[in-house]
Amino acid sequence: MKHELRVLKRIKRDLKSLLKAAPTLQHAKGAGRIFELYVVMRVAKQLQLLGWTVTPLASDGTPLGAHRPFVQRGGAPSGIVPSAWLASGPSSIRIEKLGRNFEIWNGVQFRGRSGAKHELDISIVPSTLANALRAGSSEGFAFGRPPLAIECKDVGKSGSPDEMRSLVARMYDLTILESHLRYLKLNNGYIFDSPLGAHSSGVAPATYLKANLAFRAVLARRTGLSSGAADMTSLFNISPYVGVEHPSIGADLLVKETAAWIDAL
Amino acid sequence: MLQRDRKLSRLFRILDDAGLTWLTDEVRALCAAAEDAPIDDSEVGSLRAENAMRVAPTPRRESAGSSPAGTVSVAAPGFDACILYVLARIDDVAAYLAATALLAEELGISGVQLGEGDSGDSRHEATLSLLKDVADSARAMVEA
Repeated sequence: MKHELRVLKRIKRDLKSLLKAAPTLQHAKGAGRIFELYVVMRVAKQLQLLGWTVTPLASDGTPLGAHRPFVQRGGAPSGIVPSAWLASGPSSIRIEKLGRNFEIWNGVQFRGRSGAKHELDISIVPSTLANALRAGSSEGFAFGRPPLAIECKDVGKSGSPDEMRSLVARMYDLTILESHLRYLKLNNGYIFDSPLGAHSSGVAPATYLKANLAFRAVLARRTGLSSGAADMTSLFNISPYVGVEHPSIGADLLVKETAAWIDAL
Repeated sequence: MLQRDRKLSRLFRILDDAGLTWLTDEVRALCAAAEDAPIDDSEVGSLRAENAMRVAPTPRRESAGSSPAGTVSVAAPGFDACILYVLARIDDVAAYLAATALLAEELGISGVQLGEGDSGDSRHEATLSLLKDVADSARAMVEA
């Protein structure tokens, strides 16, 4: 018992030092944040193998280069900070191929039609939108649904119907349809730099069905899905991946199919 | 059982004080899952008759649907099993971090930093070394 108390004290001391060095471990999702970063890096590497130019960026949008690390967003989820602010903020990854330019974001909040902000674990957005947000004078939130959204769940419990409902509801709130544009007083587009819509990208889909087919929403889980949750994947076109851990067939499949989907954009 | 609960409380307090509430929640869920394991249909019948509250639907039972025949209650994991779980999760984090850092280097950057500005470490190596310290301490507890 004395020995155990001593070891518990040692664990306490070691954890204190660890948390000082890696504050993202204290995030509500803890280890899940590192899991997200792992998926981001693997998708980026796979895209590079498919011929994309992959450039990790500092928070001001300049390339990180060989001497700076990729900085993962810590603390509470947030939007995109202006490039005029310090460049030591969260990093992103630019991907380019044959005139197609996107950025991969990790843990960034988007604004939905309700006005609520929704954090997406991993997303890709047009580079022009990322640049427009960085050109602002305060923290900005993309308004609309990104072409790709990945929800990562590095948890031991099977995915419940409520977890799936939460993802479907977020996608619903973020989706801007053609019929919404006149009420929102926006020019055509599926995603904007703010609800005022100074910068827009693409064309708004006509129906939710078309949006669900055109955009990709992925649920990547370390463990499985309950049947109630799995029932919702087909109508809402959610792509579920289970058994995603390092290393695993589940992770390989998620990375390959996600990169292939981006490559076909 | 009482001693296990006391030791577990200490472990939970340490994890909570460190801000690792997600890990406390996972260990608690592990204990709850064992205590709430599926029971067979005849047992459900008699329990329902005895006390409706005891068979109130829980997420686990709901997701499991009808309990498979022959399954029995599983004892809650011991303290060592909980420490081993914590150890496994720390190992998971270390493995993800090492793999991620390697990929970052392959993409032409110097590694990864968990968290922004002064609060984050400048090199993932420091985090990996600290993760190893925590894992070693946990392992020492189980092996003693």
